[in-house]
Amino acid sequence: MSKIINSETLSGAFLSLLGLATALYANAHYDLGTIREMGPGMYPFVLGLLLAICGAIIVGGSLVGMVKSQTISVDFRALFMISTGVLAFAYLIDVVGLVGATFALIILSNLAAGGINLVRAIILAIAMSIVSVLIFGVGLGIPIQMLRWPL
Amino acid sequence: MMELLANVGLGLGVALTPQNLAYCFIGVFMGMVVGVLPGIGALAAISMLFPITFHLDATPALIMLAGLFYGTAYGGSTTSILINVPGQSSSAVTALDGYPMARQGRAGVALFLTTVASFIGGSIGIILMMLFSPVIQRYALDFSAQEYFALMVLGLVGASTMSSGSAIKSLAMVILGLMIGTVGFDVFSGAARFNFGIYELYEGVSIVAITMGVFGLGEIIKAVGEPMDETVERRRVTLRSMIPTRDDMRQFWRPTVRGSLLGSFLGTLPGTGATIASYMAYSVEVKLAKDPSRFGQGAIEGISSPEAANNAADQTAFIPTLTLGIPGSATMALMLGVLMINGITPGPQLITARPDLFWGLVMSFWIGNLMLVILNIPFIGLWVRLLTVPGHILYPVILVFVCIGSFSVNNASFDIWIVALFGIFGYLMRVFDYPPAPLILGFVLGPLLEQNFRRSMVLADGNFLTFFERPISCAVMVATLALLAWSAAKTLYSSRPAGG
Repeated sequence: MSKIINSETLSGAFLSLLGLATALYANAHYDLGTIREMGPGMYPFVLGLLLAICGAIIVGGSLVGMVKSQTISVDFRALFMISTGVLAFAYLIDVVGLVGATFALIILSNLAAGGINLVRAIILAIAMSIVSVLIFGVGLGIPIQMLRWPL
Repeated sequence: MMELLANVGLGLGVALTPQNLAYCFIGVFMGMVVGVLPGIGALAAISMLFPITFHLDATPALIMLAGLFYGTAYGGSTTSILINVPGQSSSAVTALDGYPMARQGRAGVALFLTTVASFIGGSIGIILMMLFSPVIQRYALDFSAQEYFALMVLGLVGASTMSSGSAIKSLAMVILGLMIGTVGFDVFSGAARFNFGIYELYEGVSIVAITMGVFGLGEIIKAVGEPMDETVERRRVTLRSMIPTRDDMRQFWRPTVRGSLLGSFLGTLPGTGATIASYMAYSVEVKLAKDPSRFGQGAIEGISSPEAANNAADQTAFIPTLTLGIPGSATMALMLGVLMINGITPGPQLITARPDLFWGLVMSFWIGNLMLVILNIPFIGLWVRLLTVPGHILYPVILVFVCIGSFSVNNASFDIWIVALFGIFGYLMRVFDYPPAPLILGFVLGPLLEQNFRRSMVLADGNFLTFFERPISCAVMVATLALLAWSAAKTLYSSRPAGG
């Protein structure tokens, strides 16, 4: 990987920017107060600066060659399928109920790993729905709707 | 002494109620399962069970999560010995001599001795906890905000510099965790911070959402991308094969006791948990051995000392958490989280205010350890079969639990959105090699740290030197600075090219 753009400098720069943004946001929106009587903004302001410093050290460490950068490999397929599956679950549980949401999540997470087997996914979805209703619904008394009809 | 006996009685009364026994069993059983499965750590498992604790009282919730935590150490060694893949990082060392024993046909002996060593280590840890916790607690009652602030900083710095990996990255994650902890109401002024107008964020980021996302989801996304090891040899382990020889037993006792004591000590320190304890116990045994060449070929000392050490460390890790309210690891931070969810302020007043909770938990450790000994040996066949559960069943099942679990806490799908967000973040952290545990530790300790810092500043009239003017907080601060200096020096030294 390049000496300047690598896993270390990228992540370090991101953290620095995040820290600076937090400090600026805290300064702009909340009262910093004084050291003796601190306002709500002081503590996040200081933390933001500290994070920015840490990020800068990470970037600097990589630039002077103290830390070897790793080759990063992001598995976009797994990342995309599983996060989509979870978001689909969040959306569907309010619309079609537990079984449908579970089914969608299982299908999408199967796609993440490669193979997909529709029959197995259906069986697993129904079995998991029953188990979850038993644990959370019957056992802990949380109302979770198995099936729901969107109108 | 009478007081201790009375407390033991009280604790047994709490731990032996059918409800608490059941939760203890669920916890240790899940712990064994998770421990056996490589790739799923105790933290991921605890974060999966965490939503359930919202619907329980503090005592059964802690008993269950604690059981899961120390149960993993028992399960982890089974995988290390049988297939040479550590089920848990704290059992990685056990594979060095445990697997050679299995190849020599002595898997049964190895499994039996690691179970006994685990039990002895756990027991010694519990006894030390029973003896020292009340003493530390009484001492800590005099602590003021300055001492708490100093101890928390030591805990956070210790956890990031003592663990493996890059110290500066851990520190950055601690600070990020502290920052996420500021979302929500400011306890002093009542001002709402960093909610960006989102109603659900007024109460802050939910501890469930962040742990489930960073540990549960992030770990699964990572694991799915990696191919599972499919070659699991089925070894038959009979009860008869477990009987150790007299020679084995002679080599067993001393290392086990040494490992237990070393583990107990390291368990109480921030950052040095079961994994470091097991590695150090192993290296101590190698140094003490008359014939170090036996190590790696199936030496009894090589399995008994680390297994005793990691179990002892798991138990004594509860001492600072419950007596001071200062967790040394992310797992312990989650235990504190359980207390806070139930409206119990962690700190030295816990033992006197809720003796039923404290002693009930301690006595449940004994019961849980006994259950583990009983569970471990007869069910080894079952544990081995667990390893053959394919990923395409295991991972979706875990994902469904993560989703339903986070939904169940508030019956709100918003929480699942936050889980997804933190899941993506947690995955990227792993890709870029940032440790997730310090993030959680910072997140849980964040509000407490801020409160004590601001209180100290009010008490000391804005004078930063106050932390160095009080003897205890000064000693702690000096230790913290020394740790930072040591860690910086270590990084600088190790980055120098060899011979340069």
